[in-house]
Amino acid sequence: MEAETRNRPSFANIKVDLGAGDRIIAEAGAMASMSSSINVTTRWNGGCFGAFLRRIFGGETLFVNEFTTASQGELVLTQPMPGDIECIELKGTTLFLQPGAFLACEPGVNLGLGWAGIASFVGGEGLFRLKVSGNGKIWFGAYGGIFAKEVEGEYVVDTGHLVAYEPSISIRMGMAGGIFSSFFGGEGLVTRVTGPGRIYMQSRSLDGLAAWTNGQIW
Amino acid sequence: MQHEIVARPAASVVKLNLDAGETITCEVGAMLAMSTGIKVETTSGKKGGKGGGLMKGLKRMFSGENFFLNHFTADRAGQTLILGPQLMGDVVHHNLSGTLVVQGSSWLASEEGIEIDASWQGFGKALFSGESMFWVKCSGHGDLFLNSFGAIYEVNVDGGFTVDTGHIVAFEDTLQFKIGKAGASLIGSFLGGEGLVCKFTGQGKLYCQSHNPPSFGALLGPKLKAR
Amino acid sequence: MFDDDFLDGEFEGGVFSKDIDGGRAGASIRMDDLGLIALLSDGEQFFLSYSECNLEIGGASGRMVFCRNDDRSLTIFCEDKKFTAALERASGGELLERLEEINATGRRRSLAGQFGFWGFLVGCALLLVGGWYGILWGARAAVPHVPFTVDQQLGEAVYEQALDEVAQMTGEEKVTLIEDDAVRLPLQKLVDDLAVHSRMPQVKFQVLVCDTEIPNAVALPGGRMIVFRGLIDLVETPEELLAVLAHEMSHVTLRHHLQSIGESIGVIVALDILVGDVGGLVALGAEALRAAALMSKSREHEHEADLEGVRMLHKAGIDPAHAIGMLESLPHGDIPDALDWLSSHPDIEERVAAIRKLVDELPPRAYSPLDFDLEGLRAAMRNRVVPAEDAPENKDGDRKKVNAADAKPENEKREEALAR
Repeated sequence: MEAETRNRPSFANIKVDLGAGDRIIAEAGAMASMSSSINVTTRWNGGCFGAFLRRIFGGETLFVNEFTTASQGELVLTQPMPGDIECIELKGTTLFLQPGAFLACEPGVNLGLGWAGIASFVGGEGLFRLKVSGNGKIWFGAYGGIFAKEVEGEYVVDTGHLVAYEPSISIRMGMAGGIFSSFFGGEGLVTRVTGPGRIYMQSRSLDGLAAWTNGQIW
Repeated sequence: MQHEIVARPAASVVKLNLDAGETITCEVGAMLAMSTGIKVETTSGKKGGKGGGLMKGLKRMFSGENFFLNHFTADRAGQTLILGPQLMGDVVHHNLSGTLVVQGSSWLASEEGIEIDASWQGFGKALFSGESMFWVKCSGHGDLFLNSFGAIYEVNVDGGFTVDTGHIVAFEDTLQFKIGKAGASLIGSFLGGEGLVCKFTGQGKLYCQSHNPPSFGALLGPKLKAR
Repeated sequence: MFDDDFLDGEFEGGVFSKDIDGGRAGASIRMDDLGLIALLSDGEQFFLSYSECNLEIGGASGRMVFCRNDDRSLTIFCEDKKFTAALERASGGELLERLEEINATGRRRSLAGQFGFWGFLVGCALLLVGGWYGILWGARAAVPHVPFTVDQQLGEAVYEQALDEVAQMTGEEKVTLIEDDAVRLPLQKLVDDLAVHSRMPQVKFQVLVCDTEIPNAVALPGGRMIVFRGLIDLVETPEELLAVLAHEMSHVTLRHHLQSIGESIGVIVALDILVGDVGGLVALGAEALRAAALMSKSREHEHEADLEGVRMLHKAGIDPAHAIGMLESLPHGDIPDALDWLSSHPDIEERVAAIRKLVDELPPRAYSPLDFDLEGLRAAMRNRVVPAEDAPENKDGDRKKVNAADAKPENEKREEALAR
C-alpha cells in the first residue's frame, strides 16, 4: 500500500494506492473518490458502546469504513475542513489526538479513548482524547497547517491549537500572562506542556474562524 | 492566449496574456486585475448580445453562476488579465475539444467560442448527487478554467470510478454516471457517512475536488451564532 | 539472591534516543542488578545504569516515570503502576530517596486524576438517569397543556392504520365494522352513560364494533373506541363488559397516547443532541431499541387505566370487583401482544392485586347491577345482516343477503369462544 498526502497544507488529502490484501481504515465520510475495484465495509468504531463514547466525547464518527480491494485501486481520503494532514508511523508507541483530528489508520493500530482530565476540558481541549497505539501508520488532520515540535521542559501553546501529543507530555492549563493580559490580550487560557516528547500544533483554529465570522455577522 | 496558474491549491489565480482581438468570457467578479488595453463587455449571453441571452442567463443563475457574463477583449497585444474565484480553492485549466459537463459554480472562465449552457441533470441525480441541480455544459474548442473548494485532481477514467457526492468538479460527456450506494448495503452506506455516491462508467476525463463545502459548513455552522 | 524475581519483571514502555529512527520507539523494559534494559521490537537494545539514572515523573497521565541519563540523550520511560516498586527492588537502595519522592507525587496526582474521572462518570450517570426521567417527566408535564383537539386529530390520523393493524391480526384483508344500530346503539349508550363519570366528561366517545372473534377493545386518542365482537361474546356479565370499556376510556381521558408520543420524541431529541446522527441509528433499527425502552411505560399506563376504570365504575355505582373477574377469566392462549387490553398478561396477578387494593380502599357504597341487555346485544349480533360480498353463494349461484347465523364458519368459532 502506498499513500501520499497531497496539496499540503491548505487542502491536504491522502491518495492511497491499494493492492490486493491491503486494508486501510478511515472515519466515516472521509472518502472523496475511489476506483470501482475498491470495496467498502462499514462497522462500529470499536464496538457499539465504544463508538458512542467516541462520538460524544472523542468527536469521532460512530462508524468507520474499511477499504480493501481484490486487485488494485486508488482511493482519495479527505477531511471536512481545509487544512493539513500529518502521517505518523507508530512503532509500538502511542499518540494522543484531539477530538476530531483522527482521519485514517492502518489495520495494526488500535483506537481507544483516554481521559483527558477536567483541566483539559476547561481549557477547551476536550474531556477525552483519542488514543492511538500499536504498529502502523496513522493520519490525522487539522484546520490550518500542522507543525511538530520536540519539547524539552516547559512550553506554552494557545488553547485550540494543540492537535496531538505523545503520552510523555504532561498538560496543564494556565493563564497566558496576568489576569489583565489574559482577558484583554486576547490570549486567555493557554496550555502549558511539559516534555520530553513531541507535540503537534495547528496554525489556525476553527473557533478562531467562528469568532471572526460571528463578529462579521453581528 | 497564454495562461499560468499560480498559488495552487488554496489561493489560486490565473494569469492570462491576451493578444490583440482575443476574448475571454468569465464569471462576474472573477477579474482581479488587468492592464489598460482590455475592454469589458457585460452581457447575458454571447459577446455582442447575439443569440438568446435571456433564457441562458436565467439557466445560468440556477446553476450557481451569475446571470451576466463578462467578456474581456484585448484591443492590442501584450495585455494581461488576472482572474480568481471568490473562495479559497483551486483553479485548473482544461483544453476543451468536445463537451465538458461542469458542476454548477465551478466554471470560472472560457475562451470565446466555447458554448456555455446550463442544463438540467435529471431528477434523481439533481436531488441526490450533492451537486447543484444544474450543470453547465461547455462545448467547443479552446481554453477552459474551472474552480473549486479544495484541491482539484484529475482522473482519467477507463472502466469505472466512484466519487463521493459533492466532490465532482467536471467530467467529459463521454462518461456516464449514476447515483448508487457506496458499499454493499444501503444501510452501511448511510452509516459509513458516504451515503450515496456517484459511479462513473465509460472513458474520459474527470475532475474531482478534495473537499466539499457542505462538510466544512456542517463543521463550522454550529459554532456560528444564529441571526 | 533475588535476581530471578526481578529479572522476570518486564514492563511495557518506551525509549527516547537520537539513535532511534524517529527519535522514539516502544520498548520492553527489564531490570538487572546493574541497570535498566530496554528492548525494541526490532532487536535494538538500550542500557541505562542505576548510577547515571535521574528520575522524573510526568507525562499526560501524570504518572509516567522517566529514567534519564545526565545529558538526556537517553530516556527510558514507563507508566506501569508496578514499575517504581520493581525499580526500588532492583536498584538495591541506590535510587531509594528519589523513588520515594516520585511515589509521593505519583500517588497525589493519581488520586486527583481518579477523583476527577470517577466524579465525571458519576455525574454522567446521574445526568443520564436524570435526563431519562427528565424527558419522561417533561413529556408528562407537557401533555395537560396540549388541547384535546390534538388527541382527536391524532385519532383521526391513526384510525385507518389502526384498522389495518386489526385486519392483520384477524388475518383478513380488511376489517369489517358492524354498522347495525341494534348492535351499535346499546353500546354507545353504555359508553355515554359511563362517560359522565370520567375525568373529562366533555369528551364524546364514539363506539365502533369490529366483526372479529378476538376478544378485545381498543381506544384511539380523541375518543374513538373499537369494541370487538369477540369481547361481547366472551364476557359473563354486562358489568364485566363495562369494566373493559371503563379501562379503555381511561386511556383516552388520561391521554396516554400523547404521553407515549411525547416520550418518544423526547428520547429522539436527546439522542440527536448527544449523538448527532440519529439517521444512522434509525437505519440500524434503533427504533426497536427505543420502542423496547419505552415499553415499560405501557405497563404503567395499563396500571393507571385499571385504577381509573375502577374509580369510574365506583362513581357510576357499579361494583368494580367485576374488573377483577374480567382479568382473571381472560384466555391465556396466544393472543397477539399488540392488543391493548391484553398487552402484558404475565402481569395479570399484579394488576389484579392492584385493583383489589384500590377496591378495598374505596369508601363503601351501594352498588347496583348494570341495567344492560347483554343477551339482547348478542342476539342482535347473531341476527345482523351480513354484507352481500361475504355471504356464501346459495344453490342458484346468486349471492343474497343472509343472516349472520347462517354463515357457517363464524358459528363454530363463536361457540368455541363461549365455551371457554
